Amino acid sequence: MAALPVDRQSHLGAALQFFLYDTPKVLLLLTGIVFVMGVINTYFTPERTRALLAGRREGLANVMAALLGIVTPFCSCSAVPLFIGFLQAGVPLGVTFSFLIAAPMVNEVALTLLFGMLGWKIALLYLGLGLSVAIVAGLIIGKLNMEPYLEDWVRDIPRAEAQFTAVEVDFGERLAAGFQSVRDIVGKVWPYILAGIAIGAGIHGYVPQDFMASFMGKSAWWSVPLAVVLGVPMYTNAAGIIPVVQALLDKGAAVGTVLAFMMSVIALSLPEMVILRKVLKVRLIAAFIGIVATGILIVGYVFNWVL
Amino acid sequence: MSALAVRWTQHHPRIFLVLAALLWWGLYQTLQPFQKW
Repeated sequence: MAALPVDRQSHLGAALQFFLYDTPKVLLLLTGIVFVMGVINTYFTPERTRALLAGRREGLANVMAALLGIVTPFCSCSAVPLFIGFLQAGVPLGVTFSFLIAAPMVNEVALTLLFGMLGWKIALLYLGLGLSVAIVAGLIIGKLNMEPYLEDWVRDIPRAEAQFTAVEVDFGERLAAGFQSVRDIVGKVWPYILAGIAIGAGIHGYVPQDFMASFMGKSAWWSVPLAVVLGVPMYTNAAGIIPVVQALLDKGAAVGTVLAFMMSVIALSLPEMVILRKVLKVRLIAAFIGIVATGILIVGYVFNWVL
Repeated sequence: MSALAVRWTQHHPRIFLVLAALLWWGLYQTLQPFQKW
């Protein structure tokens, strides 16, 4: 950095420093955690999770589903087969939703990056609140008895036994799975990360100190709902949004508002809704969005009020 | 060389894991001084 012909105190210097320091740090953190989670994922396949949740009553099962959402491999592309598999195996609708909400929102990438960039307190708060939103939203959807709002062909699918036979996997194979998930996940998300860090660097270098306080600060009560609404059409993942979150916080944005924005971007993505429309009627999708958005709003306000 | 490394990793996965973790930690620590430039 010192070799570059840029004044360290200039806007460009601050932006470059953010970019050059954060890129290797985030990539290193991501590679490490994706490898470890790739190994852990071999113990929690979707089939095993489904068998663990099948036939359980709502309540404790919602908690289990949200927790399993953290460690079970998941991507939006597999949401539909996973959803059908769960219902077919007799997993209640509300429990299935607890899993579907927790899996993308409270994942290893989000938690590691929050820990690495914003510290363990915020990472832990995000974990607790993300799980709470997933559990409570699933419980409410379960209580509303919304099974009639599944698409007819999904309701008519015959039930199947959730059988799971553990296959012996040696440790070398688990390590190979870790390498494979680094190739798959890091290979897929690195452009998002670079874009996120570049936007974060721009905010860091060019936006004046405390600039965000006026419209993303605690005093602006309307900023939390606005952050949630803005987050829905934005499509990125945790890796892309966290460098932006860090830069916004540096410039005086309130923690609750920023976390609400982040949760909304990750948990309420428009492309996932389009995918889920294949199995859910519009009313159930609307209920899902409404309940999760309300949960995120409460999280945002509580954070701003407490911190 | 790489075939040898892969074979060694498969034969000693736990030793590999410890060495990889140490290397990762070392790399991560070397980044810290650059945080404040």
